[in-house]
Amino acid sequence: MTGIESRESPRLPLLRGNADAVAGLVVAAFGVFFAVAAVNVEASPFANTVLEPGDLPLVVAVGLIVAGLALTVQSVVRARRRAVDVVGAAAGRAARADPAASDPAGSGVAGSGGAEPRPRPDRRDLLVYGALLVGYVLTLIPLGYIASTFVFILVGSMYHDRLHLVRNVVYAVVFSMGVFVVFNYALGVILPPGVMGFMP
Amino acid sequence: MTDILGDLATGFGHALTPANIGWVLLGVLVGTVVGVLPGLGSITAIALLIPVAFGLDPLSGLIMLCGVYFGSQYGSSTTAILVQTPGDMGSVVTTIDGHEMAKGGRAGPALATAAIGSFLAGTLSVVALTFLSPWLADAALQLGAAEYFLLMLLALLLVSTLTTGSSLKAVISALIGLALATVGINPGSGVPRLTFGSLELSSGFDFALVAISIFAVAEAARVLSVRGRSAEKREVGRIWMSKEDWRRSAGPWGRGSVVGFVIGVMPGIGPSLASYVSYILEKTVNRKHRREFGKGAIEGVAGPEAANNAGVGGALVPMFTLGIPGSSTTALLLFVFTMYGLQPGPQLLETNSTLVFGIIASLYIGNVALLALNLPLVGLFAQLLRIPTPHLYLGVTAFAVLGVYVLKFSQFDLYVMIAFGVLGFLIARYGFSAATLVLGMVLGPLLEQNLERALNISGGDPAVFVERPISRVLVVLIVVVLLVPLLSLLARRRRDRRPLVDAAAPGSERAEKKE
Repeated sequence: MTGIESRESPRLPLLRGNADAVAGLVVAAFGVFFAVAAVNVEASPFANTVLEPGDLPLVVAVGLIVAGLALTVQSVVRARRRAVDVVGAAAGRAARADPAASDPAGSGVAGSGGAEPRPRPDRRDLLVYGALLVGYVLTLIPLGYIASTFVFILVGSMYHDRLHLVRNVVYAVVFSMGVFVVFNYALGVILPPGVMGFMP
Repeated sequence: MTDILGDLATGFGHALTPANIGWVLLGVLVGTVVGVLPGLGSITAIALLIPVAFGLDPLSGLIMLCGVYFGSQYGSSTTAILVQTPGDMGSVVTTIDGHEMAKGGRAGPALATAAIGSFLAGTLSVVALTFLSPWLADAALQLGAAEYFLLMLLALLLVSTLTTGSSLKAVISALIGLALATVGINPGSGVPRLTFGSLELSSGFDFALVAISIFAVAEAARVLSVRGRSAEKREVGRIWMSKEDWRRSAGPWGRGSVVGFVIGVMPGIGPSLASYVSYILEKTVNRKHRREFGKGAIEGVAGPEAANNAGVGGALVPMFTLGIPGSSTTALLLFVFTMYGLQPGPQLLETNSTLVFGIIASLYIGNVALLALNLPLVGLFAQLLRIPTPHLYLGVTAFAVLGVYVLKFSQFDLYVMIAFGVLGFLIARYGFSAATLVLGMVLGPLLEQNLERALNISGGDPAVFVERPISRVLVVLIVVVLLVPLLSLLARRRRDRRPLVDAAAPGSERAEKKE
């Protein structure tokens, strides 16, 4: 099989496993959404306005659509070219069977521009961090700064390091109390007291 | 010249009293400490000490606040280097190579080059402020709205095309930044834009909120979600700079000082752009270590940090001489001047030269104080990396939440922070540029304001952008910046295609081997 023949292969990776191509489409879709929103921006109330309030957002939206599609096209073309280059070689077959294998960075087949390979995040750790952050934000005002920060830091540090309970508790107490005292009493920035409202 | 030296001597006479030295030291210290806290940049630091300043005489108060301004600029670079959390716009670029150096066990040299660069650039910019102010103010006034628009467009294009990684992704990042900048009430018409009926969005997205979320929250999520990485110990490495570090930093310090000062002088732009331009300049001129940029090149810290601090000195030029603030922080300082009953501008130098030169003299002292206070602390700051990773990044997240909350004491802002945190995580994960996004966001309003002003002056005639020689030069530069990557891409494609064609050609050696 020659390189030319491989260009016609129906099994070449186009979007599957090609993160940049998908990212380009997401950017373009955001551009379309932004363009619709920009078109619906009210006109200026002044008669002599040269630049309407929706003009710049519309230009930016068009730019996003064009650049997003360009990224998709660029990464698909590069993916095809890469497949052409490796055709006939065992490495090429392996790469087609498992696109992630040829993309250790997980950053898409092409277009990452030489970005350094980044280790894949653990989904469970990421979800735990996200859940902790959302919980922290939701409880900041009702529970108050000290209590919510204490819980956030203690639960987070226990999740990552179960062996040092005392150290984790001390860190959570010192951090939450210390920041509260500095901000409330030294800087005059009043943080939500919540359940610790009895403090002076 | 003799007059200036005489005035400066008088200024030193007033500034070098024990009380004023104490105020400048307090200002530098508070500025550094507040600057180190994520989200609390120079504006917050100055705002915090304004009540103290009002209890003092104008010279002492302004001396202290200028010390805060310099100190906070340095402080924000510390967190940018150690935990990839810039305190303000000027240190966003420092996160790129500074944090990579810290990850590689070179936090000490990164902090030291930032401190020394800040001192040298800060001092040089004050020397320039002393002697070149009137001349530079005249030059800055030569630029009209059209030139400022083109200048910002050029800066945005340069950053997009010359940053590390994919240019297309950098362009997309800049466009997303511009898109975010358009959210809120349009200042020209008072019309709400892209707020989707939300009252909270009518004031737009705060820069500090976006920067904290995109850098700090996203970095914390990234570090804490990598198995094994969160438990590993981070290396502090050597604290002081090696001979090689000194040699490699010297040029960037000098270039950064000049670039930072010149850009800082431009009214409305301020020091925020200076560090970006310096980074691009270093990457362009440094052929030997170009590949290291983005992976921990010391030049990528030395240049932008020097430019950032030189920009602070530069931004004071239009404030003192024209009464025009060069940045939001100098706008706040301008407010302090007026609260003392002083009107910065051409008259100030004539009517109150003692005060002006007293402040200028205090800036020299402030720079020395900054170095004396911070250089010994480099080792201490670097020790922060010894904190176990989960504790460090949970603390960073807690500071991020705090920083966003105290901006407006709004729960809504915290939800926006989470959304931008997700965006920042995806940006880093898929090789887009967070620094370019932030630049787009900061330049967006200025870009639109100057575009609108230029078109209003010309009655909507776009010829205003090519009418004057300065704008013509800028247009040519923009075209060059746009064309160069396209041409190099075409040339590369041609070069890449040749072997393929050779391989596919019947009878060619490579084709035969494949067969």
